[in-house]
Amino acid sequence: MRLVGLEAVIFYLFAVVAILFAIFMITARSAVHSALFLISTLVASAGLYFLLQAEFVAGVQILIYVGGVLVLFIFVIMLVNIKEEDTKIFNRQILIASILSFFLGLGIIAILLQTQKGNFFTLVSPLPPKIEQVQNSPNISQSHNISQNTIKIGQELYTRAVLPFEIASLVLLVAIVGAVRLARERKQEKIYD
Amino acid sequence: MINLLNHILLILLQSEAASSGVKERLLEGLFNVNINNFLVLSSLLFVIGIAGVLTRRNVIVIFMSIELILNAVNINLVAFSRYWFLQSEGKNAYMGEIFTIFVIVVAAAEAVVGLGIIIAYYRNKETVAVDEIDLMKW
Repeated sequence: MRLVGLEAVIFYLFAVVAILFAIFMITARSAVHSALFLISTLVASAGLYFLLQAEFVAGVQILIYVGGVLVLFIFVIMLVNIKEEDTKIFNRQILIASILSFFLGLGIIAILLQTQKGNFFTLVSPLPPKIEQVQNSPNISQSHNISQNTIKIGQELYTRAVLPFEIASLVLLVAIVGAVRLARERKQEKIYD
Repeated sequence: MINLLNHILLILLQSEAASSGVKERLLEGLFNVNINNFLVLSSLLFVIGIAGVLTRRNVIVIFMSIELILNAVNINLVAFSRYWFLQSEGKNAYMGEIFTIFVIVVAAAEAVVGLGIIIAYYRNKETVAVDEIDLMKW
């Protein structure tokens, strides 16, 4: 994998945006601001997925994370009505927690350096072998101008990954039932019981 | 990020030991984004998420930090999927992306159940600060 020229510039742009807004997210005073910064980080990583030619995952990221989960977060923030005059946003273990996470990050990056035997920063990977990206099967031959990514993922999802796919639908069903059960009020419980 | 820092450091030092060959290789490496850059980005996002989980008081922001951690893992998976696609000439190349989709599904389910718990707790105790949620501590 090798991104050069404009793609490298776009990578650095999205990476800086993602990290910057992630830092803003964990330091923002208001929870609504945190949610908006998290949306920016997730959109930046969707851009990185486009750069990695994973268009379907990028679309899923924007549709589900930004369109679904984050809207749910903002909805709950509005619902629980947090007092803004509550000035403490960090708990009392902030010093030791930030030191610990700093050393965790240092450790992970040290391990990454270790695996490349010292030429991590100067590593130039060889050009990838040429791949004919499109191998046309007759029934999808009209669409060979667009990316094959979504077609391939769909085929794999319904053939080799079909059991995890069904289990995922079961997980979603359990989550729906559990959320409805958890979030209803006493009055509603009395009515339905 | 780290590449950039290293590059700036090298320019600042301008030592004689850093010969022009090394500098050229470094520049080439800097504008040659490979899987290592994605790994560094992903680990930085992961650590920021860990710091958010450990330091914040608001439960909702802690949940958002967990989403950030899962997103860092997703970047890792998609980068390795692309890497394997180029190495293996397209064989088994989409499993990383499929795993990413499952991670997104589980993240959505987790967010739904967690937010349901938060709403139920807020209805009883009128708080979402983690250091005031100590009902099960003796």
